[in-house]
Amino acid sequence: MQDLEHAPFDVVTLAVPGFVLLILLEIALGRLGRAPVRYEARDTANSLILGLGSTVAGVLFAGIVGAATLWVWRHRLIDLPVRGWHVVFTWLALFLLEDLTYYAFHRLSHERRFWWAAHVNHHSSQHYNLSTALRQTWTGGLNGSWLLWLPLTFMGFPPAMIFVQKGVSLVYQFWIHTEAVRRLPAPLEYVLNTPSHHRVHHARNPRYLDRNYAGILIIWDRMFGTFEAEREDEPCRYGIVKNLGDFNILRAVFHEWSAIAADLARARSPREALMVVFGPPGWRPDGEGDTARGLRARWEARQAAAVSSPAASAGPVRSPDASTEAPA
Amino acid sequence: MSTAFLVQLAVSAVLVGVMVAVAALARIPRPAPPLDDAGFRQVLAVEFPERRPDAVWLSSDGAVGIARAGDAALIAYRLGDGYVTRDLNWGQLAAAPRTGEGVRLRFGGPAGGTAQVAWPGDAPWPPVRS
Repeated sequence: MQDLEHAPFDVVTLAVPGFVLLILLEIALGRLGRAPVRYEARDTANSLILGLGSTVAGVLFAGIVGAATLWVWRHRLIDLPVRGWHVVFTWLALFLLEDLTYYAFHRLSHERRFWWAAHVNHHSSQHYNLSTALRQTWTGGLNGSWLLWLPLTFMGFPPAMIFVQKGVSLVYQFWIHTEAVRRLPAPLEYVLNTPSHHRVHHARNPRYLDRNYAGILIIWDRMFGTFEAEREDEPCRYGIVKNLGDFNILRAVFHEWSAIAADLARARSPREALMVVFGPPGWRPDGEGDTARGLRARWEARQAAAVSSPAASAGPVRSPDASTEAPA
Repeated sequence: MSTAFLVQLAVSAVLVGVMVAVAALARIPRPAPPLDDAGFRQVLAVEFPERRPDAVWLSSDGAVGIARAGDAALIAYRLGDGYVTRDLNWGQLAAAPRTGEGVRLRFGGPAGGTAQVAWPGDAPWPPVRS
C-alpha cells in the first residue's frame, strides 16, 4: 500500500454486487424451500433503505473523521513496518487489534444508551436475513464512536490499512446475518463469529440479551464473558425489547434519540440526566426499567422458581414472532 | 458529494427497488395466522411473563388480542408477518375512539404504533367478560 493515508479502494463498495447477489440467492433458497428463510417486503425495504441512507450519512461525517484520523497519524508513536514481508506482521496485529476495537465499540453500543441510540436501528427488525445486515446506522457519526479507532492510528497503523481492515470486518459480518446456515464445523464455531453466534446477538430472549458482540472472532466474547451459544430448545426471537409499532423509517432511525430527549426533559437531577444518557438502555430512575441485566435476572428468577415448583411453570411456549407453527 | 458517489447512490437505489420487489414476489413471509385464544395466551406468556391475564378477547379478524390483567390492558396486534405487543392502562383502552370498522388504539411513546381493532358495532367497548 503506497499511500498510507488514503486507501486505494473501499472494500465495502467493492462488495456491494456480492451483497445483492447473495440476498437474491437467499430469497431464492427460501422460495424453493431449501432453507428456512423469511422475507417480509416492508421489513426488507426498511432494512435496505437504512443501508442506503447510511452511506449518505457516512459521507457527511467523513470529513471530520478523516481530518481527526490524519491529525493523529501525524502524531503517531512509532512507524510500524509497512514495506516488504514485514508488513505481514503489521496486518496480523491490525487484524487482531481492529477486531478487539470492534468488540469494544459493539459492546459500548449495546450497554450505554448514548451509543445504543445510534445502533438500535440495526436490531429493530423482527426478521433475521441478509437484508438485516444492511440495516446500518444513520447517526453513528454523531456519538463519536469512531474515536475508538484512533488509538490504532496513534499506535502507528496507517489510516489506509485501518480503513481496509474495517471494510473487511464489515463485509465479513454481512454473510452471518442468515438463518440459512445452521452451524459451521466446531473448530470454526469456536474461533469465528458465525451465523449461529450472531443470531443469538440479534435475539431478544432474556437469555440471549447483550451477548456475542464479536466482529470476526468470537474469542473476545469467550474471553470477556459475553458469549452465549445458540440453543436448539430456545429459538431466537428477533428484534428489540420493545419492538417498533410500525414500519416508519424515521422512527427506526430516531426513536431512541427521541426517547432520550423525552427522558432528559423529565430528569430531576444531574445524576438522573447522566444516567438517562449514559446509563444502560432501559434504565429508569425508579429501578423498574427493562435493562438487559434486569430482564435476565427476572428471567433467571422465573426459571429457578419453575425448577423448584414445576407445577407453577407455564412450560415451554411458542415464540409469537419467530415460529413457523400455527398458534396452538 | 462527487458525481461518482451520486451515480453509485442512484444505482444502489435501483438495486434496492429490485431486491424489495423480488422479496415481495417471492411471498416468503413467516406464517402468521389469525390469533386464537390459545395462540394469544402463548404470546402473552412470552411477552408478559409476569402478568396473569384475568380475561382475553380477540378482534373479529384475529389480528388483535386484548387481555385484562388488573388495571392493565395487554395488547398484541399484527404488524407485517409478526405481532407487536403493548400495554396500556385499562382506562386508556376504554377511551380509545370508535371508528367505522371498530376501535383504533394509538400507542404513544417513541416506539409508536397503531392497532385497528375489528370490533362489532353492537359489542360493548371496552370489552367485558360475558
